[in-house]
Amino acid sequence: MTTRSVVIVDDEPPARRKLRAMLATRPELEIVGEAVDGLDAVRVLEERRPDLALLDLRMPELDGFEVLRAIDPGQWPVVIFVTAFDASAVDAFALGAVDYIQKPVTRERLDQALDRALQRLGALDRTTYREALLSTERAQPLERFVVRSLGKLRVVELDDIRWIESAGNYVKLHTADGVHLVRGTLRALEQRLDPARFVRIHRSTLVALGAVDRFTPVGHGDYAAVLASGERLTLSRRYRDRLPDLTL
Amino acid sequence: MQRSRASKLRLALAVFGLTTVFGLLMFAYRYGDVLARHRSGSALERLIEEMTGAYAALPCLAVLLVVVGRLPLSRDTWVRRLPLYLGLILVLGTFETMLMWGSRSLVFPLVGLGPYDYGDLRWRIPMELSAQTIVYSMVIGLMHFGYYYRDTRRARLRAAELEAALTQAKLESLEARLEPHFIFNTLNTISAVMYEDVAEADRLLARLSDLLRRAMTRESGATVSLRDEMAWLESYLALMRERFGPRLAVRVEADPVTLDAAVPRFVLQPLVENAIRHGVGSRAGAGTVEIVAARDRDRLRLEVKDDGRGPGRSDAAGNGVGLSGTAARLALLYGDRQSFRLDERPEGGTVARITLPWSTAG
Repeated sequence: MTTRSVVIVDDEPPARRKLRAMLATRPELEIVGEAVDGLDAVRVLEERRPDLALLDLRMPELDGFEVLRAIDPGQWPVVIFVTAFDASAVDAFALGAVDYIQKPVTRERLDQALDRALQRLGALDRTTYREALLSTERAQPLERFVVRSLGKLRVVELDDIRWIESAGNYVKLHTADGVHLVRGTLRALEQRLDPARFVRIHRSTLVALGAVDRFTPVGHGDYAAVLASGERLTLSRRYRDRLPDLTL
Repeated sequence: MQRSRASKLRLALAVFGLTTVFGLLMFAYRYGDVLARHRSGSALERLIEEMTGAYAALPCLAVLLVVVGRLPLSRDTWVRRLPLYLGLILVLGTFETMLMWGSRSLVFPLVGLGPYDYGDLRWRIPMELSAQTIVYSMVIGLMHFGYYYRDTRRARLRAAELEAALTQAKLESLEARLEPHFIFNTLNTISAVMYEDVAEADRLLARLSDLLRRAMTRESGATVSLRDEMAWLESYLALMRERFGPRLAVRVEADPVTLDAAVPRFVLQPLVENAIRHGVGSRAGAGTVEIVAARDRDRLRLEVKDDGRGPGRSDAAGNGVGLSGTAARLALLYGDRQSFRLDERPEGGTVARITLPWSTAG
């Protein structure tokens, strides 16, 4: 019998104790870590690389989906979400092969979810599972980013971002306290951000309208966005039409 | 009462139209008499007399309308105000007669009827006064009835509004107070504690039952004593402490005199829930929630403070339903005599502050 590793993530101590007690009756599962909030979860999951994760959906700092977003999908464990009452999220689960259990957690339901997860782990095709989880994650609203600076994890709120620059398979988030590199493409990001808040002004630039002080002409019909911070960004003619409310 | 420009114009046109119709009817009445008796008389003369008579009454009625609105006669005031009304009838009647005389003296020569003869004014004024006293008295009576009718209708409307808002607030507070997340997470906590300490699980179930019972009971009255409100909060906080463990510290600083004060039912719970959500729920590490009740002369001050991230940094799970419901409810219950603010504290975190006019729960 192969032993599988599990990480428990929940912000409430009694909830963790309960899961721990229930997992103790399954000798094929070994608890290799616990996390008490979203950021902690990212750290523990990356460090332990467990096969399975019991992931609370609503937590301080980051919710369950944001935890996954912060981790390279190649490192994702098979996830069982634990929810108290998340109707909208449950809708998203219905689309994919992702499993969830509801609180109060019952032994039967937990065992069923664990069996299914172990089955998935045994199967060769993990790509399909990852795709399902990925599409579920993409259906969630984007509200903050997790960034790493000097090996530490930090949360960057959308409000703190002035502009976003494309850099290959990464994007650079420009904030008041520096530039943060996050995995993802500008195009994918643009689709998940509120178009009233973040506007594409260049092939490689998304700008937070709230950070823009003014748009000034720079000749040849071209414009530059001048941010309140003093930074100047090129507004290319192609994207000018996307700013209907701005008198240029 | 605020009226729009368009509705003011409509009202003025209606008054003018009614006056004109009244004048024309009076003309038909007076001139009909002339025709019936086969007497000779100028129709134009009668027409001008009746129309000026009708229009001259308008300013006098306007004055009466204002006076009745401001100084109505009631069971308590009529003795004191009767001389005022009698004097007013005398002055307005004389003024109306002079207005009729003046306007006719002006119009008659203009239409070629020669100078107007109104007879001896020393007799004319008292003669008109006798009729005016009758008409004015009736009008004053009607105006009282009109105002009374308007006021009762408004009061009834307001009462209905208040009742509807209360019901709504009750529903909203029920939702905010015992939102599904709270109930299911608490049940999960109890089911965990059950394996470890049956007596403690029993106590927690009793706490949860307290909350559910009060949430589901339809109680009368919009206010309760702060003591009752605090007792209910204690149950709520006991469950929250069990769920969050040492991460949640709660400090209550209630001046004993405030415990008898009347407060809106469920007023504190949404604020405390919000404070826990921002001060503890959305932040790793320990958080402190502080509840203060104090009397400032004739006002009651309630404060709920947290040391979290402030109102601008609500987490995704947050919704403002509870707090906007609180604000609307306070406004309905106390009008301008209450205040409700949510501010960031300079040292970090948020303080929600409610002040109410002081009254004790009876």
